[in-house]
Amino acid sequence: MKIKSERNIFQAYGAPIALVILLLINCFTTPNFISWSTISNLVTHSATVMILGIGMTMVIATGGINISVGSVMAVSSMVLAKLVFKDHIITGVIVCLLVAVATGVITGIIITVFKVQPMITTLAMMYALRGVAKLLNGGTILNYKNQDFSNFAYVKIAGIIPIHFVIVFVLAAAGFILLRKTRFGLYVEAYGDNPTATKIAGVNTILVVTAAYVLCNVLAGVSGILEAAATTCADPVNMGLNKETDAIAATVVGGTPMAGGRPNVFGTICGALILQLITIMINMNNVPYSYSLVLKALIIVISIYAQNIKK
Amino acid sequence: MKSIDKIFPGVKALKGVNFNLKSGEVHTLMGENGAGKSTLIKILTGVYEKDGGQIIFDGREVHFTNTLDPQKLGISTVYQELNMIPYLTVGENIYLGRYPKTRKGIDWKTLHENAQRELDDMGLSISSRERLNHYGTAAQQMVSIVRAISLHCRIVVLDEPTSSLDTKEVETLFGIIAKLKAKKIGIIFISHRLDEVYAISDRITVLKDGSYEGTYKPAELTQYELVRKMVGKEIIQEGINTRNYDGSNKEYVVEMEDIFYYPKVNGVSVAVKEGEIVGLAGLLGSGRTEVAQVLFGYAGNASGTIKVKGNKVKIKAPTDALKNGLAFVTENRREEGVIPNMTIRENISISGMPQISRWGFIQRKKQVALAEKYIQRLEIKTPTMEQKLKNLSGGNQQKVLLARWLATEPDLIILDEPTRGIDVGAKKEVEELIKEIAGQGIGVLLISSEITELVRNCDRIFVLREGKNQGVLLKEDISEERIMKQIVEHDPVSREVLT
Repeated sequence: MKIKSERNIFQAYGAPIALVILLLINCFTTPNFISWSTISNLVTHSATVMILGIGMTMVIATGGINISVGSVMAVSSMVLAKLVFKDHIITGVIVCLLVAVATGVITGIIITVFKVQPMITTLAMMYALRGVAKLLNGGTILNYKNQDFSNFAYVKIAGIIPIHFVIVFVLAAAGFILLRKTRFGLYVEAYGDNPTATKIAGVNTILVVTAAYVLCNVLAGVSGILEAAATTCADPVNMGLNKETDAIAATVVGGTPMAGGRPNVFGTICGALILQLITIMINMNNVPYSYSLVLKALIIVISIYAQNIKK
Repeated sequence: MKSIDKIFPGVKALKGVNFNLKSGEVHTLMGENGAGKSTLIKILTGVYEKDGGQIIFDGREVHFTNTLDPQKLGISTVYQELNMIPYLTVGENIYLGRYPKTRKGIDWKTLHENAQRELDDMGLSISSRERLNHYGTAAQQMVSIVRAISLHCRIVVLDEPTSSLDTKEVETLFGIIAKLKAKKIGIIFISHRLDEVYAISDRITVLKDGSYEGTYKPAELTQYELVRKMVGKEIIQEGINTRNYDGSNKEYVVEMEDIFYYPKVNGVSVAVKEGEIVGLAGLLGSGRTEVAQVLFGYAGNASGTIKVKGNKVKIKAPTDALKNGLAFVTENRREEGVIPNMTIRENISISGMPQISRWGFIQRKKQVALAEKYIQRLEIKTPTMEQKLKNLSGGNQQKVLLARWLATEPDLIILDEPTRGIDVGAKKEVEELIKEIAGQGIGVLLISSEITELVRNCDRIFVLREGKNQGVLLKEDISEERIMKQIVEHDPVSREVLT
């Protein structure tokens, strides 16, 4: 006997449907929209938010939030730039990711062991890590010249597909599998749905929640690497600035409930694309950029409204 | 209410149900979980809209489309879960949203004077100016009844008001109900406790699977007949323990000695052998639940020694307990057990993950097989294992939680009030299951406030009082009378602990 899934369809498929509709509208209304370079731009420009969004989805699924990801990007990219400056590319990448892990462990432990609210903990981490990033190079931009490393961001598979496609695809697939096919994923969703019951069910909730913050920050580290490579510099002031809000917006539009529960990685990816598509659409139609912010706000509010409709 | 229908997707929740209430009478609604009691109440209070039938109030037909309409007519509900604000004063709660005002603001003096008068009228020794959470559950419930009266209500719905009260508090509540009757207020009473129902009801309406089974006066209907009408199958009344458990050459699964957990537990010792059903008896607040929480690592700082299969262990968190082969079905199903938005399959398998996953990946086939096995074995009623757990009835949710823990293949299972809030039929099933579990060699620690339930099922009973061992009863000594005697007085005969 089959019963109809009573999951709200907007929560499950709202974001992909909205994305397709937006793409179709643009095909007809925006001049020169149908071209490979538009698609390519769309993905490369939203890659950072998509990668951050995957991590944010995990954290929000536990019922938490992480507003420190922008600062994590800044710190890890500064560490990376320092090492790449001395031509240690591999070491740079490894150390940068280890720094991200360390920040995640600290955040996770403050939240789980000392029971400080995620919003406050990550707010503190946001300030602290931004400060650390500035201290690392006296608050100034660190330029480096390393052709091998900066070329990496411009690699094109088969001459046309930017490396961003591959990175985002691999990370999104990994995130999806992790959240839907593993014990960890089940624990994350269960914790978001009922933390007390999950703890009593014998789940090591401290480990699970900390791991979610660690993974989220590692993904922020990856975004930091990608951005630092593309710009041949690390800017402690502007790197990752306000990116956390975009990542949260993408997650919410994508259909992961803010109160915790079922994570929707595919939705988050579509959410990030929708937000970027709006910017591109506004640009290509010669409308001032400021309008795109208003339009994004509308999309966020409408999507939450649709997800809250019962059946 | 005449031939009320209510259809939910897939289920016809109510099929032509009739219900009428006279002023100044106590009319009890009885039925199993899923019989449609709550649905009927929700239609009367405007939470749901009816799909058929009529509601007639004071001779006029009325249509409720929201929850405000019934309130304007004076239909008021005192829910199982209290819907009041604990940090406000009693008076503020009574007049919530209707504060008397002067030109300068709220007229606190009048508010508290009026509130105090209402409270005194009901013969309650509750102060209007005290914060609500200063009082216990029972008093809070009384306050919410007083609020209903101050709204000049005509009908009060009391949905399982006694489930969290002790005997004395129930008496107070019944006193209040008598006063409500004198004020010509009609009362709809819902309870699972048969004795209370017979003590208080003027009439009883029985529902079964959404159908109307009839309305009776208590004198016309014996308890046995009532139960039969509710569950439609023969159930054994007041049985005695028919198990033949001989623990003389069995090993202890768990031994707890000198457990202290401030302030509720002050030196308790309890032990369970394999395949034995051990009961923890005692009044509310005797430390029964807390002992279980300590054993499962869910309590904070506790001291004492715990041995599992003869080895001393440290249990600091439920994870440790799980690793030591312990299982814990808690008393608060909704807060501490059910993961509401996840499927039955996921809810059953969450604790047994280590057995059904490899390298952290869930092995879907094993997971499905596990869920299937326990759905069948425990006869969990659901169309599919992909149903969200929140959509099942209380009894079936309880079975899912039992399944979750049985799937971990434990050596000891702690059952804290396993039959609370589930209907008579499901109760019987759960009790049979407990015996079956013990029959497989799993130790059972059973906590219940229903002494007869302990008498029916236990091989040994530890009686607790104010966080201390009061005595132990072995199989042949176990009787309701002996337990109650031990609770109230020191019974030197069986004072030795841990035989």
